[in-house]
Amino acid sequence: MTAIQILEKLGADASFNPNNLTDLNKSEIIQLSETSEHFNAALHHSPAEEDDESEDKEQEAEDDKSAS
Amino acid sequence: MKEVEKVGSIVIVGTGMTLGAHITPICRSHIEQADVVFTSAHPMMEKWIQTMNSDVRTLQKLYAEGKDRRITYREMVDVMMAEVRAGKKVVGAFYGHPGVFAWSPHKVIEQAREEGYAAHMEAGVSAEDCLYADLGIDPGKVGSQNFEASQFMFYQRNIDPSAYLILWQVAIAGDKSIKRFSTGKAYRQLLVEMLNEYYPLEHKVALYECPTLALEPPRIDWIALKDFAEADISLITTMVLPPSKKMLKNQQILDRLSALDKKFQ
Ligand SMILES: C[S@@+](CC[C@H](N)C(=O)[O-])C[C@H]1O[C@@H](n2cnc3c(N)ncnc32)[C@H](O)[C@@H]1O
Repeated sequence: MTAIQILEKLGADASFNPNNLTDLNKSEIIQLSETSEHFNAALHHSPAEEDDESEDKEQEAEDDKSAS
Repeated sequence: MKEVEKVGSIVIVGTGMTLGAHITPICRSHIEQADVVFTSAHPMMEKWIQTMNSDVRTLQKLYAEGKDRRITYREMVDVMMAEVRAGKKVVGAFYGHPGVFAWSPHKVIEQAREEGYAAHMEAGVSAEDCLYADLGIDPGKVGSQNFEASQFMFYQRNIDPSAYLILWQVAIAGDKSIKRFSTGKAYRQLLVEMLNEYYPLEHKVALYECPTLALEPPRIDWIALKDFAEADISLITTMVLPPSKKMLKNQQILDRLSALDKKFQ
């Protein structure tokens, strides 16, 4: 099993015991997570000045102007 | 006559929070059957998604410290829409529930529909779902309020301290620039001052982090509100404030309900 398959089984299979992982399994998982890049979890923003809608409307107004 | 939908399509799916544990069969099936999959999730989660489809492209590279996240979010929409317009079956796989505190997933669906393409979202397991399980909280017990920490700071919000309060994106609380990966202690101290209008400084609050890999337990640190500024916070930390007050009875309405009961029973 690859390291990712082991991690999937750990999450998905209630009878899969992490204590049964071999040292090789563990070192592969550690190696994989060490090569991982930074994770940016932010997907949301709250502008202090204007909300999304007004920003979108401004954009639409600009688009309309340039189209006409 | 209904206009015929164009060939391209997009489905936005959630991967859930913990690799292997939370993805729903329908989300997985969409990923497996897509022509192209765009992901925004923890790198390990993204590596797992890569085992389900041969064309998986990360959206994480669109972020950069000092770059306005509004640009990043619009770019996410643009790269997904480019493939939809090229006639492909596109999937956007976002961690957790793809529609919870996430701008681009909603926006791309709106835009695709406006342009006449089929587009919809599948639900996923969010951080909020996990915290209810891990912290033993039932949001129905006294109610629960959710705010993004910055929005809570920028606008005058009324919070009810007899219900739970969940604050999201506390690591970047107060970031007006929408460019930073973290704000810092002084910003969090201001948030503490605001919360102190409703909660005593000794009030116990939880810092919660659901694990990405099923190897680790969740982080559940109970600290006093006053210690929040100094606490170890990351972009995945969610802050949970239990109620500090009891619910107050609405006697006027209760009396009116009794009068209705007399009349209609
Ligand atoms: C942009 S929101 C995305 C939420 C995500 N769509 C979901 O379904 O949970 C990012 C915020 O979600 C929360 N979050 C993300 N990952 C988390 C985790 N592993 N544990 C707890 N909260 C998390 C944090 O408050 C973080 O700042």
